[in-house]
Amino acid sequence: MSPHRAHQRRFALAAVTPAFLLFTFWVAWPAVKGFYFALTRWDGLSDPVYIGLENFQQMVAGFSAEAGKSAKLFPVAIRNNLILMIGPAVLILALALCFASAMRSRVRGASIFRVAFFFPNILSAVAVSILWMLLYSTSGFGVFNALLGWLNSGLTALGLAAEPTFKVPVAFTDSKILAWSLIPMIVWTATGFYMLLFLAAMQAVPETLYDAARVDGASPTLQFFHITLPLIWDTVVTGMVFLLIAGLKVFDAVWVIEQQQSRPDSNTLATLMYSKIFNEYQAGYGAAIAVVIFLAVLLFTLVTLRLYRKEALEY
Amino acid sequence: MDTSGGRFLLYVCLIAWLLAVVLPFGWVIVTSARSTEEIFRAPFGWPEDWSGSLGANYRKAWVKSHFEDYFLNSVLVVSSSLALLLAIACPAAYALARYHSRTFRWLLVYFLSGMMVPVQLLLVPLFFQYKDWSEALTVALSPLFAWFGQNHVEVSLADSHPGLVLLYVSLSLSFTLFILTSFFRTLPTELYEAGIIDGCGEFRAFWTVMLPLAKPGVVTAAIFNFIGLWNEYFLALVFINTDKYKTLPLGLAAVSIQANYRSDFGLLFAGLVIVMLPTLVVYIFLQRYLTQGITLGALKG
Amino acid sequence: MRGTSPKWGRRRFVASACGALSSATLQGCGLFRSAGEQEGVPRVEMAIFDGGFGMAWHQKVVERFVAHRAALGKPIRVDFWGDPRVIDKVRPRILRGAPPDISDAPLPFWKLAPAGALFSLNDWLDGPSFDQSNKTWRETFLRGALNPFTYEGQTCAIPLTFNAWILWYDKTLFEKHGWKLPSTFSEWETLCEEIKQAGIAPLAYQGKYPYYGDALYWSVFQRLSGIRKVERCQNFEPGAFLDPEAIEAARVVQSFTTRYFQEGAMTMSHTEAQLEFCNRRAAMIPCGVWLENEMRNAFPKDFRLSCFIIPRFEGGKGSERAVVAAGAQAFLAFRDGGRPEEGAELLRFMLSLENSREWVKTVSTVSSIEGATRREEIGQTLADVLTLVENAAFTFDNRLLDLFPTWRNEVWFPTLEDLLSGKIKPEAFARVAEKGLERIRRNPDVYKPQPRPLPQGAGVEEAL
Repeated sequence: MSPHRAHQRRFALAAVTPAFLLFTFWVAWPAVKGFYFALTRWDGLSDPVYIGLENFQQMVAGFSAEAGKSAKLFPVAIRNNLILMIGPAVLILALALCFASAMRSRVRGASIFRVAFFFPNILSAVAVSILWMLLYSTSGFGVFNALLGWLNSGLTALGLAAEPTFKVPVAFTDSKILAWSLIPMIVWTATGFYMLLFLAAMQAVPETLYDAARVDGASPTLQFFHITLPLIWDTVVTGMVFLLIAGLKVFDAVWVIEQQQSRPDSNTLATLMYSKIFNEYQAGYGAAIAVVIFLAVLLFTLVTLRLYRKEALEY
Repeated sequence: MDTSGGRFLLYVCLIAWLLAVVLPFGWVIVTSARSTEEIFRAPFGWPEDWSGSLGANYRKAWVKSHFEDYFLNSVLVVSSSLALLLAIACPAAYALARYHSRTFRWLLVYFLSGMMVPVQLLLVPLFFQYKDWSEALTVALSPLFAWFGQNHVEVSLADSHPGLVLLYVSLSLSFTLFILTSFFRTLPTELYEAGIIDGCGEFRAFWTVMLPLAKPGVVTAAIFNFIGLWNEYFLALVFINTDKYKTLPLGLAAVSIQANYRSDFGLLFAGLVIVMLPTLVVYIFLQRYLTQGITLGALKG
Repeated sequence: MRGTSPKWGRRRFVASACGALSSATLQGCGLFRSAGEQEGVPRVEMAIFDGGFGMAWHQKVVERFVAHRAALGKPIRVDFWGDPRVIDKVRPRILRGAPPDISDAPLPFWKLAPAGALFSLNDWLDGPSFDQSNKTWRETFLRGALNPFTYEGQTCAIPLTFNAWILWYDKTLFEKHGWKLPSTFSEWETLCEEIKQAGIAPLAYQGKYPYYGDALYWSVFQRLSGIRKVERCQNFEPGAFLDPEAIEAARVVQSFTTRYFQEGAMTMSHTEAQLEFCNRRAAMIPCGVWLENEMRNAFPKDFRLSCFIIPRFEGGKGSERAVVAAGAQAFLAFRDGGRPEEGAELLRFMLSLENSREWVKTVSTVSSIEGATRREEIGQTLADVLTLVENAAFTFDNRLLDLFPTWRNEVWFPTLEDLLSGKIKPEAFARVAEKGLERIRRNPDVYKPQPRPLPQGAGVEEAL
């Protein structure tokens, strides 16, 4: 080994060591311990007791018909997370793809739209939740209830409905429907990011392909499905997985809107975990919920890798 | 979309979305200059007494509701997190991108796998790890404290800013290394080699030649982390319990609960603006770096 | 710039910024806690639930305590703070091993005590009281006040107030209709029929929260069968809930619902039901001592609130003067607090006779300290409550609620709701409760305390 190589090696080692130590002690080691705690019954005060898969069995038992109230918390949280994963993913992918292809086709003022659409992404989730809580409220702030009211009077005025179609005010932030009410909020916040993501991918598609298609007389819709979508497919899949993972981890919005309390009907996995650990002193069960979140993330990531196009398309 | 009708519809959609995004924020800013009583009378309206209510709301938020402290705490925590994060991640990313030994390839996989670990998984272990480490540090450092004549000093990683900073830095490492290694990889090696031939050491070559070249990447990483950490709520909620150590999102959440109890909406809107403004400023001036980062992400897949 | 190169200027700026940053970090960041203690001056931290009562009393008592200690030459510092969400702030700190020394946050005593998180106050309780020289501190409490806070013989929490579950009525309304307080259960039933004739619901009931029904059940149960069978349930002996008299108690309580409760009782919150009572659409209501305070602004001007307890049953074997009551609003002392022993000193001072008397004056409630609630200082209503408590043969409470929260939430309260809304028969109710308790008995992970001794009092012997 030349002296230069040895020098290089020393430098490289010195450069990665702090990151390695920090990552190992603050991320990797706790992650391993997290798996262990998931297999224990532990109140966080005395010593943990190893109980194997009992925490996970308890979660599964929650799905049976005669499960008690506290056992049912887990299935309800899963349901809420599914709503928060699938709803936004479908809507955002559709909207972001539309917006991105519009931007690509040289809309006037595209840069203004780009800057503005991305804007909600930079806001704190706490602030956004408070804002939407106000917009959803049943008092005078409630824009959405006001809109429904106008819709009611509009429909009756037009003679389309004899009596009010919607029963206002709707309690949008009621625990039972909170997960549904969060979908528009997430779409509002995140669409801009995915628009930029897809736009960046679209701009890498060579213009010559579209020229050729235009010569063949392909409509814009046809061009989108036959050229754009296949060529940016990997990015779309990545975006979808980001959205699913984000839906899996929702905490801030629910916690803020529910006034920092865990409620049985609106829990997500993250809020349920928080309340299990800090309100009910069930740190072991809380860790088990975290393991479920991790396994889901892992699953999504692996599925994505499978969904990627096998060979890179040549263009 | 070629027909003029389709084009018109497209613009209608885009402008509608633009308004939906911008109007609520404008509403928050305008309303923060109205008194609570005004807000109750008519939630949507123009301020009757700009200067009066604006001053009153912000003064109340800044001083009485301690946004002054929360703001300073957030600035301290986020700036020291960013400084430490970049100081650690830049050299590491450079080394990981430049040296292709087997060990380093595995090391990169090790670091990037952290992106899959949800913070929830780390919560319980870290919470109790902090408790154990604090106790150990207290014992270990007690001779030192005694030497300074302080006998009852306790070390507390939890509920302290350094503890939170360490969490923020380590949990942001994977993502930052991902961005930075991609950037360093795109840099030409000729300049580095020229530097070495000129007699630069490895460190000088990194510090004076390569790092300035990677500035756009570093800025991108810094902005993404700034936005993420400025708005971070979950970890701060778990690890900070004492009022005087709270960061802005915690303060804002507390005020929103108070607003429901005590109905002080002027204060709430002022708080919203105080939290949103710094990220807005950063965004307006540095948004092209964000776009750049997203482009990079899109092409890497 | 006097010729300094810009680079040097930048470097110096960075250096000074780093310096400022690091010194600020070290001082104000919270990494090092000196526990605020100067040499020899211990510091106590007290966290208070800041509900409707405010903290003026706490403030005054703390000032006095600090002055008292300074006079003794043993100076002390007390940091106290209050928050409506104090429980959310204290809980994570318990897990972190850094709780305050004492707190009245409504924390789960039976979770914390077996886990060893609480600090035993026995040494202080069995020592002298603060201002009654002939008594130990323990002896100054009302009978039974400390029962719910004693774990394996160690008392780890101190109740500030004493709560009794009683029946409230309005003297004005009763006098207007010429109704008399009943002395037997059948008289009570006649009275209820009369009230119904007048177009008023005999009983208002807070159906959404089963705590109120729980208290009714146990007082009827005791009147019917005596305290021993009640205590068999309280000590979770097998089959205790299946006793014919336990089932009979369920039948009696169920008959209230179908005959006496107001319309829609089972879906009403406590506020809604209590408003029915305040507005005289219902003549009586079961509730705790806090009713007067809670509904302060809702009573009409001529309302004269007073109280009684469910009268004796003909042929009933229990005491007719026993009251379901126990200490409430307890201060817990934490083992991991910085100075729990000083926290205990502060508690002993706070609950001195003099300070307790002031507490009563401030919030108008029944103090857990005997003699602290004085008739001349409280309204007629509270004086009536006091009479009931003082005349009680003995007091007892349902400790299963706090002991087994899962059983309470998933078995006992749902089945009690089913019973009261007439969905199930008393026998089925008893079977469900018993089966749930059987699961608890078999579960080695649930902490189960020793059987508790029979309550003390003149009436216990006859009520066995």
